[in-house]
Amino acid sequence: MRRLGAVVGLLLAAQMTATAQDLDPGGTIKKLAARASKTIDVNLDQSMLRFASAFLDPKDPDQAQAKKIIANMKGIYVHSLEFDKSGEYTEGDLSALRDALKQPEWSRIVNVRSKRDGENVEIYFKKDGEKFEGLILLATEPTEFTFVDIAGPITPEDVMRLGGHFGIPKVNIDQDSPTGKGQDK
Amino acid sequence: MNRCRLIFVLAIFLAAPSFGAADPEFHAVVRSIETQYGVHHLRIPFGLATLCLKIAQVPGASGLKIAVFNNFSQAEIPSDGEFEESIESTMGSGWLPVVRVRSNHDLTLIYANPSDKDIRALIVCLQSHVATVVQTKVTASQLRKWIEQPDEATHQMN
Repeated sequence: MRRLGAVVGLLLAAQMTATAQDLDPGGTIKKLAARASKTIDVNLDQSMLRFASAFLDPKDPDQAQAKKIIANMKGIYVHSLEFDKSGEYTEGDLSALRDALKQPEWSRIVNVRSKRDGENVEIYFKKDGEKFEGLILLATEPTEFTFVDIAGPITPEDVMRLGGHFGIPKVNIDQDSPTGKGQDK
Repeated sequence: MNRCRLIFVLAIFLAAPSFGAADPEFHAVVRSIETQYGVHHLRIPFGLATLCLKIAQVPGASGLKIAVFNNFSQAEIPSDGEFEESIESTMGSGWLPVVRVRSNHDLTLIYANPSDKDIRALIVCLQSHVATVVQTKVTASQLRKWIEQPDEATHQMN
């Protein structure tokens, strides 16, 4: 979950704007939150992101890139839920969420499933024509669930570049992999 | 002794009875809690408040206001966003909910109001027996730290 935390942190670096979506189809997150022993919600709007980006050093190549990426983001929403024990939520509880992400504008680029520790990570990108308009990250573990929603232009390359900033973990996306579709490990 | 209690003990000796006229949202939030839960706050004087934040290791904090409700006795933290809605309805525009950390016995809310020069942060921390409201100016890096490590904000306010 450390890796997920880092992802969450990264996502936090970005922001959301007035047009950010904060998806919660069927009230899935709200329902899960009611069962969780602990919830952490982070909302960053465009003004907050703009402020945060002002403190990135434009002379540092990495930070300069992050600054540029964040400048165009509209918002970031992170919902992190912890449960006392496994089994308090099931794959079925996420069906409404996943159904929403089956809409044509969404494409799953990353799908990592770990049979060893039950940690799964999925990343979906929202596309408008050839442009990326947003990102959803779902990270599930037996006792944890993390949902990240980034609104605004973000590409798979941006996700990798933002890794390490604002607590965002390093994310490697192999775009030559068949799908986007992911892998089991 | 957690920090809420430390603040409370010190406040017994140094608390002033009322607020100044500035920062209406801080007053509004404090009054909202008083009304909802039938409690009264103790105001921490500026100098002591600054000391408390130094104890809590919040670098760059300034312009600080703290209200502590030591007789807060809400056994269960209000659920389903009711409390947040009531707080947010009392705050003026420009305040953004940035972080919310909720567990069975704690609720921490961090709101931010960024301007060209600085960020004002308003933190509301409810626990089973103590509630704390803090308003302060913070650096962007401090706010970013709270965003990336929300639990740290909770610990600093407790």
